[in-house]
Amino acid sequence: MIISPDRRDFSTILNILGRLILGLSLFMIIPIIVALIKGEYSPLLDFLIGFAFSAGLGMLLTLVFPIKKEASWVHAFFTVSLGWLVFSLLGAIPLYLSAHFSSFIDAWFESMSGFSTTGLILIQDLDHLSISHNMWRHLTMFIGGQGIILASLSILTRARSVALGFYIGEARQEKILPNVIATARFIWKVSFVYLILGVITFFTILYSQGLSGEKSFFHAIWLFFASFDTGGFTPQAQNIAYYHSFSLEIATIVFMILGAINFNLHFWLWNKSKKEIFRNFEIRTFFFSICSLSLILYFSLIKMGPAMFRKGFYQLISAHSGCGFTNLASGELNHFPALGLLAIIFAMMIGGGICSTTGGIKLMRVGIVFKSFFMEIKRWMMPFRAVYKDRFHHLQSLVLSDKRMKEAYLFFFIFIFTYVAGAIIAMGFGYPASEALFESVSATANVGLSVGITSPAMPLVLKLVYIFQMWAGRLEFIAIFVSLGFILSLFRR
Amino acid sequence: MKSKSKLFIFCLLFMTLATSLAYAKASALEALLAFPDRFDQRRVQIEGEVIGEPLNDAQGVWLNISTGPQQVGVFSSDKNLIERIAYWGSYQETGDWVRVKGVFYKECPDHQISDVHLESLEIIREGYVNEYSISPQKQQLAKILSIICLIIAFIYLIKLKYGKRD
Repeated sequence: MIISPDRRDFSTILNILGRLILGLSLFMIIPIIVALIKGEYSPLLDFLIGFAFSAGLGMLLTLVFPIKKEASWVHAFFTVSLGWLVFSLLGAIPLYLSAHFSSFIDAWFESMSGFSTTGLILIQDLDHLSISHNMWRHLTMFIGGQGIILASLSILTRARSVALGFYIGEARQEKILPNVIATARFIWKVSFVYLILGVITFFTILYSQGLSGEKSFFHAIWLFFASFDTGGFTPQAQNIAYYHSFSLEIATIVFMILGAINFNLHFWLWNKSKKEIFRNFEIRTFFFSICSLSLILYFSLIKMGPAMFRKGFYQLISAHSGCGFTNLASGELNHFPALGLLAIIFAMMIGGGICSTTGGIKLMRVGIVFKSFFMEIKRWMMPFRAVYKDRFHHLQSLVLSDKRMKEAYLFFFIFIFTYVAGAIIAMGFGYPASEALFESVSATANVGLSVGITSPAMPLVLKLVYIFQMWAGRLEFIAIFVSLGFILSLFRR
Repeated sequence: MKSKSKLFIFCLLFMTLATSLAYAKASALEALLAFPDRFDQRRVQIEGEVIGEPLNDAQGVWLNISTGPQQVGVFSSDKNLIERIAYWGSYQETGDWVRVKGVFYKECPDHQISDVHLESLEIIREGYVNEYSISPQKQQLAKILSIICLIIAFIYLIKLKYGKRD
């Protein structure tokens, strides 16, 4: 039976949404403090406006719409879907006021790209952006990577009963600890430990390059947000190419991979067995995928010689981890041979681990799809009456059950459909097929690498399509489909 | 005597022409990056704003040149060449607009990336410190929204303290 919503449902949803918006507005205090310290008074006003509007809206929703029903998973899923749209819109306010965007849609695009940890940008004249605005851009990735709703929940923990719904709605399918709030806090704990390590590493490299202490510190924080949360924003228009530092590129590779690893595996490695890293199904799939795609890239970029590693392998890791960092010069990706581009597209499509900050189909599902294919072949080769079930190791030995396969194929299909649909729309605007597919995959899998389609001059409809793809890709569709069903059921009554 | 002066003028003209032709005319950075094969390992001349700060390298120093949508890294083994740059593009400053002459590498043998190895640098337009005025409309909007937010916060807090908890 499908639950048909009534006013009480919407009142409950808007109340929870109001609380979450209030949580988001608290994050805006950080750039306000930065603007005050740095004496950036015009940006300070941008953030004051953003903060006052968000906090006011959050409190107003909570006051006007009381909780009239016990919140269920459907409420949680609807709140997650609506929440991410509202948060990206509110997050766009200070960005738009910075006057670095040609329209509010562009600022919304940037904000959604940040929250969804995509990294596609429409900002203009990034090199002259204020420190506080840069702080906000990078902070959106950190908040989004951790999960906005969960971020707010771990602060305002009054909605524990539906916490699991929020958790799953934000595309995290594995609990690390029995309690979801405890899981959320563990994710934050892991992130803060890596934050300290990351900031020290990046600071040391940047400071030795001649950046001032203060600038090294800010850049180090931002680079950590962008690499560990696999966002891909940087404070300079050249992205990682700006720094001309091989050691920095190696450090970002380490943090990109750490961000792409399942948080559950982090937990296991920290608290249980270190050997898990060698047995884990996701890690093995990642290793196999990286090796085979590197081989394709090798043959495609063989003419480059030694530059192949720095130019090719870096983009491959960046694409696979869903980060979107690039050390290439403007437009250089367009000059990659078609085979090389294809390898990067495949890497983007796959993404990282389940319960990580990456997007894409995810290693686990791709691994299961391949394993089930080989299992089926084995089955055909066995006697007719033989019963055969394959197993794989993910924290424990698991049976490759029909349920797991069905789920993997479902997500596989939805992602492939969205990748192709986005590409067809872009092709409708006259873009070549390979570029259209590249950009569509990059948006849906929340990667952020671009072959040049994403620019302020791109058609408005395409901007909206990519906003949708980033949103749907980050939430992995289910929360959005449930919300759509929730709305459609209104008309069935 | 006449023939000597003719020869001198001819030599002068030839040298001027040769010097100008030695640098492939990629004064638009866009052209350089759009057709890297055409300019690979050739002397180029590009113009743009100096961005960020000088970045140290074991063998020299890096600077980044931007025209807005396009940027490229320029490597100089001689740090003295860039000493004259006074303004580096950032939020606080608009960087010096420079003309860079050097060799472009699509895949630099030393750095394994695309870059320009600097031979000479000329400041075309000096940068300046940016001054930002605060828009009165923005100030007004911030004031109004802050007041509204404070009123709602006041009601919210009263409700939290005295109202029935959800």
